[in-house]
Order: sequence, then C-alpha cells, then structure tokens
Amino acid sequence: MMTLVLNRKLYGAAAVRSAAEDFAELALIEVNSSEQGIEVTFDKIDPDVADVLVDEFLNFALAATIGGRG
Amino acid sequence: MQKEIIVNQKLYPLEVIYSTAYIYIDRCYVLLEKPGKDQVSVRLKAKPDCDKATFEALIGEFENELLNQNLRRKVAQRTEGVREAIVHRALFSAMPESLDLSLDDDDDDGDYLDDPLGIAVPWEDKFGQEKDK
Repeated sequence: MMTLVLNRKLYGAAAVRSAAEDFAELALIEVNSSEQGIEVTFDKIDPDVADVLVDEFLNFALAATIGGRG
Repeated sequence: MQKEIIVNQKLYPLEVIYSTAYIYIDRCYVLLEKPGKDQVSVRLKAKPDCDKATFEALIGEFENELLNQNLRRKVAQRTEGVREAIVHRALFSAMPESLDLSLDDDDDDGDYLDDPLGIAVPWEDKFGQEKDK
C-alpha cells in the first residue's frame, strides 16, 4: 500500500477522483481530502503496470485538473 | 531519471505552468508540488523508454516552453480587446439579412406626418378646455 498527498491548490479533488475512476481496473485507489491536501492511497496494484501506475495516475490527475474536470 | 525545477509564481503564473506541463505529459511524468509561497516545484520524471540524452534535452525544452507560454499569455492579454472586436465584427457581418437592423432600406410606407392614433393632437383639442375653478 502506498499513500501520497497532492496539494489542493495545484490539483482539483474532482479531477483526482476522476483519474481514480479511470484507473479503477488497475488498482484499488482511494481518494480523501485532508488538511494536508488530497490523499491518494494505492493498493492491490496490477503487477503488470506496478512500475508506472502511480506516475501515470499523476499525469492523468494533472491533465484532468488542467482540462477542467476538477 | 528525474529533475526538479522550482518555478517562481510571480514570474510564471500557475496557468503558464499548467499549460507547459500539459504539453509535456505525453513525453514524461509531471508532478507539481508547492514547496513555499509563490513557488511551484515541477518534478519531471523520464518515462521507461526515454534515454538520458533525450531526457536532458526535454528538461531544457520544458524551461524554454515556460517562457514561451508566458509570452503567449502576455500577448493574449494585450490583444484581448482587438480579438473581441474582430469576433464581434465577424458575428455581426454573418448576421442573416432577415435580421438586418439597418435603417437604409426602410419598407415602411407611412409618412412621419401621419398620426392615426392622434398622438400629436393637443389635450385641449381632444378633451376641451380645463374648467376654471
């Protein structure tokens, strides 16, 4: 299991949730808003994509934020 | 391979950082963090198929693109009024003839002296003189 925190001023919560939905088949991703920011927890990551999943997820979340999905 | 670039938000607003990052997210991994006030950390990470030389070139290109996007933003701000005027003019020119609001081809046969509702008739003529009290 791995957790990372994204800054709320840089990433939209809805965009991060939207990215989590896009990646739902590849990992169990939980998104929670906390005082520190947007907490994203990754679990049960598909071994075939384990080395790139988190980075790809972050790109998706950023693209969704910029694209106005959050 | 990864590289962190600290960007001053006073020089490069967030929308400039966003638009630059958006250009590069298909070529590398991008993570944004906020190490301090008016600062954004852009962490670029090479994708698995990216070699060192390509990645180093990409970092330089990213920094140049920040400048490029900043200039585009400033030009866009400066020319906003002109662009709006052009769009307004184009929309107005494309307006169908049925909606032509100009006064040139007035099909109205009426004369300005015609007064079918008697608007020009004085009150006294219509309803008589006011009675003295």
